Amino acid sequence: MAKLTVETIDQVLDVLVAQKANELDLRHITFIDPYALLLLALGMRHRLEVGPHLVIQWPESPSVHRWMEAMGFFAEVDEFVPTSRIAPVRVTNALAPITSIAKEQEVSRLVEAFDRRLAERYPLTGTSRNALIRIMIELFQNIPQHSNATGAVSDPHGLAAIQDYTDSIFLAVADKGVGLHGSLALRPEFASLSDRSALDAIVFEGMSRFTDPGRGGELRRIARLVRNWDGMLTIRSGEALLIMDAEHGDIYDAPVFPGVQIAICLPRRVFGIEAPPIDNE
Amino acid sequence: MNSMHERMFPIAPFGVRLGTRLEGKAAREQLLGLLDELPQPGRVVVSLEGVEVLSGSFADEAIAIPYSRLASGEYGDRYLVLRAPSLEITDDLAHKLERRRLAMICLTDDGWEVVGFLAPAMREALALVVKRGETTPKELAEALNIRHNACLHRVGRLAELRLIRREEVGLAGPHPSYRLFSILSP
Repeated sequence: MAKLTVETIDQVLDVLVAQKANELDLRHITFIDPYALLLLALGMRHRLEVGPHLVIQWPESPSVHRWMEAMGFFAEVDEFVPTSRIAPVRVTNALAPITSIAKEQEVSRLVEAFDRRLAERYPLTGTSRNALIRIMIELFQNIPQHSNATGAVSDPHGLAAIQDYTDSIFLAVADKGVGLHGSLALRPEFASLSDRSALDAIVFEGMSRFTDPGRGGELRRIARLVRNWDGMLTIRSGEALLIMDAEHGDIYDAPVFPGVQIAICLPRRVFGIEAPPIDNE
Repeated sequence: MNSMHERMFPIAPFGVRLGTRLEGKAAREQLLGLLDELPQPGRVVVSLEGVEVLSGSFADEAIAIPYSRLASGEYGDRYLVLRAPSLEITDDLAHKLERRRLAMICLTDDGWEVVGFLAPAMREALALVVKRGETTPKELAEALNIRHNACLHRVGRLAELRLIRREEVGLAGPHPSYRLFSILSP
C-alpha cells in the first residue's frame, strides 16, 4: 500500500481501531487524498480516546509530508505528534486545509472560505460553483445538525478539507459522531436497520430521522448531482461503505468506525477548468 | 372582488449565498410576521432577486414551511408568490415543495411558472385562471372541456394549495357557488 485513498484507507483504519496493533507504519506512503487524511486524523483521535498507545511512523516522502503540513494535519493531531514535527508550512499547495466544523452558526462562513480559496485559484463558472456551494452547505451543516443527534457523543469532531488535482477537485467531510444508522434509529421504525440499510435508506430513498417531509433527501440529491457530473461519491458510515460513480453505486463492508465520512471527487471540467495551474503530485 | 394588497419580501438582505436551516429560520420569522400584518386579501411576493445560491435547507425553513402553514389555512385569505430572475435558483426549493406536495407560482422575466409538485391537469386549470384573471368553475369546465364536478375538484385543490383565490358568492342548489381569481391579479 503506497497510497492512502478512498480505496485503501480502511486498511489503516483497521490498525487504528483494532486495539491489538501498537504500531502504524506509514513511512512508504507516497500519496494521501483528503478523505484518507481526514479518516487518518479521526482514526488517530479515536485511538487516543480508546487506547492503547500507538506508535506511528510518518511518511518519509518530503512532498507527502509537506502536503500534510500544509493541510494542517499535524496541527489537527498534535496530541500524537512530537513538537519538532510541527514545522512552519513552506509549500502551500493545499487548497483548503483541514477545517473544524462544530456549530451551525459557523457553516456559512466556512463555506464562503472554501469557495474563496477555490475561486482565488480558478476562474470558476457560475452554475457549477453555486452547486458546489449548495453541496458544501448541506454537508457541513449535517455535522452540527446530525452528528450528535442522540446527544451521546462528547465530541463528533467534524472536519472538512478540499484539494485540487490535475483532473479533479476533491472535497472531504467527516465526523466521528453517531453515524447514519445512529441518527436514523431515532425513528422507532428504523431502529433495527443495519449500517448498510441505513446508508441505503438515506442515500437512495431520501429518508431522515425527522418525520417532517421537508427534511431529508439532501444526500440523494447530492448523489444524483455528482453522478450527473461524472464524478465519484464515497459515503462511509459504521461498517458500510458506498462508492458511487457515473455508472455504478455499490455498498461494501468496511471496518466499523463511528460517524460519517464523505468524499466527493468532481472532474475539473465541471467548473470550466482546463489546464492544471499547479502540479500537486 | 377587493383588490389584493401586496408586500415585497426580498431574500437578498439575508445573504447572497444561502444558507443553513438556522439562517432560514430567522428569515421565516420575518416572513411570517409580514404575513400576519398583511391586510386580507393579500399576497407577499418573496423575491429571490440578487440571490446566487438558495440551498434546500434555507429554502425549506424560510419559504416551504411558511407556505405549508399558509396552505393549512393558518393565514386566511393571504398568498405567497415567488419572484426569481430564473428558475435555476429555485431548484432546491422546488425539491422541498415537492416533498411537501406543495407548489408555488414563480414570477420570472418571461411570465410565470409553477415551482414544486402540481399535476399537469391542475397546471392547465391554473393557467386558465391566471389568463382570465377572474372566472367561474362553470366557465372553466367549459373551457377545459371537463365535467363540472371534475372542475370543482381541481379548483378546490388549487385553492387549498393557495394557487388561486376562491370566493363563495352564493348557492347553486345545495352547494355553494364560487368565483375564482388569479392571485397574480392587481
